[in-house]
Amino acid sequence: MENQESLKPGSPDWILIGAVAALLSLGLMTVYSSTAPMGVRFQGDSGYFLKRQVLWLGVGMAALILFTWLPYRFWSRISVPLVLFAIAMLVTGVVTGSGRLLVGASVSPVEFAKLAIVVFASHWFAAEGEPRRSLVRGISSLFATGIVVALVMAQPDISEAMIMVLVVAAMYLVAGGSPVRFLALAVTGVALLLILVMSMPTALTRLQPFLDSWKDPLSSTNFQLRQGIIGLGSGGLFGLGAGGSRMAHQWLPAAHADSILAIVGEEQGFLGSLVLIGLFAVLIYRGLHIASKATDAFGGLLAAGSTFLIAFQALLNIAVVTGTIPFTGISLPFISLGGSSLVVTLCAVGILLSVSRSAGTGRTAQRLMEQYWMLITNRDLSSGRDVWVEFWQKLQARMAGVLTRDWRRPHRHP
Amino acid sequence: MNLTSRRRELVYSALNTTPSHVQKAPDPNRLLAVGLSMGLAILLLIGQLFRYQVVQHADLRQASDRQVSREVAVSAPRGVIVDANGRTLATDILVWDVSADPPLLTDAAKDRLAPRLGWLLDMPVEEVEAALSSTSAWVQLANGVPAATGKAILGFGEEGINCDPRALRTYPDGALVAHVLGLVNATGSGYYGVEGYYDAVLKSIAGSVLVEQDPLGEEIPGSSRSLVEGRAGTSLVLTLDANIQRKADQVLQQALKTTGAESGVILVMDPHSGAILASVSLPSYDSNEYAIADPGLLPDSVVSSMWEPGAVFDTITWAAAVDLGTITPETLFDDTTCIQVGGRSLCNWDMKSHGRVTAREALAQSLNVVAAQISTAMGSDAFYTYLRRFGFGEMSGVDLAGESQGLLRSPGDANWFPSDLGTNAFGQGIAMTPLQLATAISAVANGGFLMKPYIVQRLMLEGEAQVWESEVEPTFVRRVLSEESAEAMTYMLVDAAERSGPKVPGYQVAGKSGTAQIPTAYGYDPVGTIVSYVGFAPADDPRFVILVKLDRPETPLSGSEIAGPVFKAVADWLLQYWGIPPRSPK
Repeated sequence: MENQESLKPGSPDWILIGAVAALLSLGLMTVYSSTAPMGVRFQGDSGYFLKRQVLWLGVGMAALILFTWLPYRFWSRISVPLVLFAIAMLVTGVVTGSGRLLVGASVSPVEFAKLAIVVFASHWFAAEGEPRRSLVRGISSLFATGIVVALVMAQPDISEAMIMVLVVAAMYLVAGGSPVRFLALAVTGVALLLILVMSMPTALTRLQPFLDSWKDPLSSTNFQLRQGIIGLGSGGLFGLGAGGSRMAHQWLPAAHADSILAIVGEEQGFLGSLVLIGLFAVLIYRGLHIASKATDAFGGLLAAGSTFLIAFQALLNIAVVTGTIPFTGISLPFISLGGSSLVVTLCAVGILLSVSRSAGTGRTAQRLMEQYWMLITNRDLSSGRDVWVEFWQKLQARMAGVLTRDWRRPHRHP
Repeated sequence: MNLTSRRRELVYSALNTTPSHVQKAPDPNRLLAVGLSMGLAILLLIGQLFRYQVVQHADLRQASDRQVSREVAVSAPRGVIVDANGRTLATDILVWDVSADPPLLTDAAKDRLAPRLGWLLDMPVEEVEAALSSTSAWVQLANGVPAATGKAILGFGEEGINCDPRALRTYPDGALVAHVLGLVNATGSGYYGVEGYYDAVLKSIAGSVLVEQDPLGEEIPGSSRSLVEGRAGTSLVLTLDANIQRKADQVLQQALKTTGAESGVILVMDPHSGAILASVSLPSYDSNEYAIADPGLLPDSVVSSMWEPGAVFDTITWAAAVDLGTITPETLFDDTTCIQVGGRSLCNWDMKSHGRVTAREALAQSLNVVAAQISTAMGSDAFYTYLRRFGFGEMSGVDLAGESQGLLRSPGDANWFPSDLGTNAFGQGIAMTPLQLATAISAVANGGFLMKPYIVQRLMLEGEAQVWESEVEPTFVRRVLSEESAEAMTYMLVDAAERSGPKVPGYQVAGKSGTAQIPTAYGYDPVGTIVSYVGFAPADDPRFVILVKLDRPETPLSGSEIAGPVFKAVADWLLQYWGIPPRSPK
């Protein structure tokens, strides 16, 4: 009974939609100020790149609405063809030597492959029986994933391959995979990665300056990193104001791409960076909440995988720009200029919203928002405080649960 | 139900999950674990952002400023100099320096540009081609090209061809007023003349602007901020009249040609105010091209060079004696050929005795013996007191750079000899600048009032909204002669001018000529002389004082015969120029 009711499509998660809308607005603003000088110089139009981004945003929004409306179980059925198609695209890219971009340099097969892998892994981990507890199945699914990852590496695009591995690994963990096996796989993975990095000269040349520049980024030989940090730091607490970026005037190469956070920080200051990170935190919280409320394993994994996909990219990007990890090319979801990335990210949000509709998180979100609305309109502080008190009590209970839990227990099953 | 299935039930109930055939959402606790580790990562990243954006903000902002900001000087124009009628004598114009960076130019661009640059810069095309294909990083193509050419070259929009504007001091009249105006060197400092004296006033204050630029040096739109507001220099209005100057210049050039004199001076002053109306000293140089001028020509001899004036100086001696009361115009003197003063024999220029003469006649004939009799009769104290009161031996304080104070020795000075009292009376052993003498004669013409000579009558500073102006008032220095003495002197000078000086029909002119020997290191030059004439007109209401001085004329004639006509030519023209009514029909 309860099951059937939850299968009825409900309202999407409006908190998530709000966070995404805010990120997209911040993104368009920053894309404009980081591409305007370039647009004027090369195209004679400061809005040239913004217009293209808005066009892609239109495509992405259409996909988002379609995927929100589409029952997510559809993805389970086409997961295998999806991966095969992704492999085909990647192989084409490798064979033709056209590198990371296809179809007149406008479609990036890697972006598509990331989403396909999330769908495939969800399908695989949620498959009948108790797949989460099977080492063989786990490994074989990882093997299938491995083909895609290997192809992405062959692009060559180590950063994206790393994102995929991280997403699939995290999905394996939340799907109920054994933490011991997860750790074993993680150690093996890191070891493999290290071997790979050591064998690739380009990776080494990126790693060495990073180690030198950890203490003092200003003396870094990595121009991109140094300029990005100068941009971030010169913003201070409140920033130089929208459109006030100076690094965007060719001082920070390709400021609109992977280092766009530097422009956000320069223009909006530390407070702006906090808002940006906060919005991603909201997105992660709502995504994982949706995953936990999903009515079936596939939906839950799909929601978790989509959230991981966005979250890992965002966190790794911020870590790279702040010099916390070695420099690699990862774009910042919702913010960086780039059509394929934007459309695929919005597709992932659409899938997430589709799950939220049947998970019923939309209703709780609505209720929360209604309470806040009352709080704002009636200035009823006590009701607002109640919401927070409830939130903290729940969080404390959860944390207590996590800390006191015997993690091995579910896996002792004979 | 066996133990295993019972345990399973227990586990499921504990987990509050449905059995495995009903697929269930991911484990919330694992989701929370992943979420919390992401939260930790977020906290770490916020820490990193805090480190750069708050803790190290100042350093990083500075690093950003160092890269992006550039201070650009914005020059302001030097003050303009105009004459009494508002004619521009000196001003700044904008010229362009054209240069090229050959490494930035492609061969095709060089082929394309060379003929166009050659045509615009008026250079042979081969020369431009050679410059463009030079291996150096930077070559100069042309300096100081006009604004139109500069803008045309700028219009090419070619990277590698540079066109930089620069202010250039320009003197439309060139050599005509060079000595009065002086010059401005490449660094913008004024030397000599008005440019030198008023350098600090004329000088502009360059402003500076902080601009932000991209790595190619292009300004980020809307980023410039004014750091220091620039200020244009103060403009000057001279008392000098370019028309009189031009006439005097013409007359003097003609005189140099006909007399063969090496150099000469014509100085025109207003005796009532001390204003300098024209000041020509030849040979001159072009202020626009001072760099190629003979350095000896740069100082203005009107204020900088001194000479022993000879008999024109009799005027001062006579005036002093008249004012002291030791002589009147009709006092009689016994003129001998020579006279003993201080153990030296001083003789008349013509080596003749002129018998009994009045003071008036003696002045007209420039009798040295009478002059010595007058000065010795006055006594050295009185004589030198008058000389100093006339302004000799000290700077007049004129507002022109490089003024010399002349040479006046008086009793008590190391190399003053008793005979100097006699020689000084007829203008030997005493040296002065043309300006000092003209100023002293002006006092005679001005009823005995000595005025400080000056050339700037107004200072103007044009601000954003209003014009600040400051009028320079004539400066009265002291009274050197009584009204009556001045009148008596004018009477004697009119007489002198009528006897041997230049005649200006219809007008009464007062004047005195002089022919002076030139002192050298080995006594006086046996051949060369300096002839001069100084006078004013009309005698009853003097409007101008004119001093003429010609150095080493080739014709063996006296001051009145050589310098007199020069005085007349200028005086004639001036009376007509100002439309002064004649005293009697011509």
